[in-house]
Amino acid sequence: MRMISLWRVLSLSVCAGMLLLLTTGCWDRREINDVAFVLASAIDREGDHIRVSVLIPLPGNMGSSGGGGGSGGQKPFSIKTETGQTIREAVSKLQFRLPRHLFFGHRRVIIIGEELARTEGVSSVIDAITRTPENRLTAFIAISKGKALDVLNADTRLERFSAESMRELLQSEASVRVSVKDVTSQIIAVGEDAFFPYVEKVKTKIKGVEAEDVLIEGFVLTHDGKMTGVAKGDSAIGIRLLNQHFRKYDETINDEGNYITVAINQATVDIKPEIRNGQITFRIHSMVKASVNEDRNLERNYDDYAQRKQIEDMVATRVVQNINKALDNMQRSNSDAAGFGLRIYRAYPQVWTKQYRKDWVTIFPQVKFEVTATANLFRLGMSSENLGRKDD
Amino acid sequence: MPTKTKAKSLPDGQLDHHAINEFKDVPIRATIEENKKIMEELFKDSSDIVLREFDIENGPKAMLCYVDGMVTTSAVDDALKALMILEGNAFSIDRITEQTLPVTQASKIQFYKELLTNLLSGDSVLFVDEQDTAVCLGLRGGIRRSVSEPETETVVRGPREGFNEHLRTNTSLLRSKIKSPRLKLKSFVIGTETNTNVVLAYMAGIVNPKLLEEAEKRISRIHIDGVLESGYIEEFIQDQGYSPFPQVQTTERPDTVAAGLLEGRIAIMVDGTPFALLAPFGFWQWLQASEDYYERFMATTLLRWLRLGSLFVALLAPAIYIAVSTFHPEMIPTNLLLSIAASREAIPFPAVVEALIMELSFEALREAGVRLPKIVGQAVSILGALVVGQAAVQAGIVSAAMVIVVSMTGIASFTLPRYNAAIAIRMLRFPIMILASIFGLLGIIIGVMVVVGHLAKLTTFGIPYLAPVTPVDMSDMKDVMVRAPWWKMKKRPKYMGTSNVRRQRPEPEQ
Repeated sequence: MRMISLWRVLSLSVCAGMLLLLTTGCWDRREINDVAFVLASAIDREGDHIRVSVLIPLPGNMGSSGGGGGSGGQKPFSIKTETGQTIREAVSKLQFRLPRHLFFGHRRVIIIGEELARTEGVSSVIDAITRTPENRLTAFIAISKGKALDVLNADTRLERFSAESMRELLQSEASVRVSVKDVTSQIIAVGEDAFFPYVEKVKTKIKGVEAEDVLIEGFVLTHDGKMTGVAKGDSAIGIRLLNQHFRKYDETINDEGNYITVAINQATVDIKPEIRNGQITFRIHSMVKASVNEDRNLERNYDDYAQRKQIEDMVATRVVQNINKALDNMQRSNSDAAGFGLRIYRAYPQVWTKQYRKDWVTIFPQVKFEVTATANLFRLGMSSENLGRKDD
Repeated sequence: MPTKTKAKSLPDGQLDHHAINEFKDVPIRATIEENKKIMEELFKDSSDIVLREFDIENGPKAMLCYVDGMVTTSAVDDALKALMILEGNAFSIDRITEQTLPVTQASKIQFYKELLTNLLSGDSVLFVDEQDTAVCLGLRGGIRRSVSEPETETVVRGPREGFNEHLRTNTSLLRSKIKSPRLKLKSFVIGTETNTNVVLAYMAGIVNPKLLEEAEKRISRIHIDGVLESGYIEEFIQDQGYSPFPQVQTTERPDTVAAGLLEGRIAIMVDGTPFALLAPFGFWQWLQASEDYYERFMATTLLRWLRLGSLFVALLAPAIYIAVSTFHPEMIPTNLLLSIAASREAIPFPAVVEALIMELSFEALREAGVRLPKIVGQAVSILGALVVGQAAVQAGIVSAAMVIVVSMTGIASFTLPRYNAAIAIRMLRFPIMILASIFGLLGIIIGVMVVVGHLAKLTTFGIPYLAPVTPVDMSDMKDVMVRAPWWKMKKRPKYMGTSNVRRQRPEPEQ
């Protein structure tokens, strides 16, 4: 009797297991052939609607081995676009038109159009991204000059996909890596504002062949998630210094008609908040290490300490100028892109929460800065004097 | 004088329809005629049995029986000559065995069971008229395969001799490795019809007495008509009959057996097969090749890790490919994913089906390669290269990525030095692949957990299968993931429960 009941239990559980396995239908299973991997997307504002464009690679056109064989000339990717009241609505409308399932797990680049960034801000985009688990928080995010779709569509020729070239660019020396994760943590914090790389499509024409490039012009400054200003050139360098996102860069200085190009190889920026009589002052001191890359002054004698000191002073002045420009820019657009508020919070936590936290928006534009810099010329290049000059 | 004992009569019916055991108490008759009648009846229609009658000079009749082809004919001739010219009057068996016969192995037997066993093992039996005792002459001979290199366990460095099908050759090979009276070779006869000689080898004073007792108990429990290979014994003596994992090691290398005995294990050798059994056999011994102990220890340690990695690849690689590509594409780096997607673009099957097709054809190829005559084998490998290779990819039936995964799996499964363990891994790959196709990585985890749970529960001759890792014993780790240099391996594995732990002389105290 016991054996029979054991068998019955066993066979019943096997049947139940089989039923479970066979009828569930492998809920998450999706073959690679049925998935459209979104590599990049562009989000624009069009009137009341939001236009979402996605860049999808076409594996069949990628020319690697496989059943189809090579296919010359055809683009290896396709861009699909759709509008909607929200981003997710646009995506789901787009999904209806596509035979493959849109998969955002491999999206590495998100470009937001300038119009959307100025009017609505990036907060709604962040919401759409962070609500679904499929999205990568390590995706790079950037704001485009003009339409984001145009940037996405740029035919850069160097990489297979414009997404690829943009990703490489956004993590190159020309930019600062800004990912969704960074932006989220910056926007959510009081006393800090997010900044984004500012990308632009530029057309070049060489011997009648048109080419398109994606250029990183500088940084977009935001206030409360909305775009309020752009920092380009020197002020972009200043922002980078202030954020400790230092990358080696070259600086060309005019020394009384003689140009000299130095490379800034290292820079540290020390920011100290001070509250005196209710007035907030930030003491900013920058220490840079520079090396000479090119010097058009043939007469300069590098063995002379005074002349070297002169170059160091020029570099220091230039660094101070850059930082001041950036600070000025930030204050004008009321964008605390370097997190000065957080610095006060860390130095004077109680004062911050009592006095400044609420009104930081109005206080920040009036904050005073004292910027100083020292430079150290630590390397002169392969030769200490110009080898193209006649020996005395 | 013939002694009347509890003379049991012959079994009923035809004599040659009874097993040897039934002749246990049947005494040898006192007259040649009677014995000859019994023998003739026993070996009716047996053309290889020779019954040679002759007269001892001035003496009684005698009869010599042997199995043609199993004796050394020249030695039998010598013995026969010595008997024929025997002089004197007393022809007792005692005198014949003790004074006359020029034979090294001679023993007196009184019952038919012994007689038959020895006769059929190759001994010659001498009956003398008016004597109820026969003499068994150990003049075994016949054709044997010579000692050659073991084909399943080749080494770059190490002894090249392997066991063959002759038990005595094998025991002599073993004895020549371990020249010590501690080496015991206990004999059993198993199989009511085959009467196969089985030897249980162990090192007295080293082996755990409980292990020995258990092994003896398990061997003597076997009652079967025939034992043709050590695999018969293996299935009878293992702890868990329904486990996919081998609990007894098989080897055809005398040095491997000797090393096992010195570690405190027991070996079982069966007549008629070159494969000896070694027990206990745990998981970590899967990764130990005999060569590990002959090559330098650092290289060996690297190879151990390689084998462990290969084990996981062999078990899981296709399953992980299926799971990741169909459930978790976000885990693959983007560029790799795009390459995979490009190669999979024209493939009509889901990844599971693709993987199953490839794995099954690979297994079929391997099986064909093993079974086919060597001349045809080459054709198989050419066809195989087409099936599991470029042609299948170009035809758009399988993707290039899958071919790579399957080849990797195949190569990885060849790196395990123990063939019976590798088979278990090959077999388990398929259920895990199916689990992966249904539940993704979760399925793989479920599969691995079931396997690991089973391994943890499994024992081999009462010793945990995963010992010494679980239950953990740090001092035994010297021969698990690493192979410590010989001068560091001062003690035998503790988990074997050996009665003599020390294998090197302790360092002199300063």
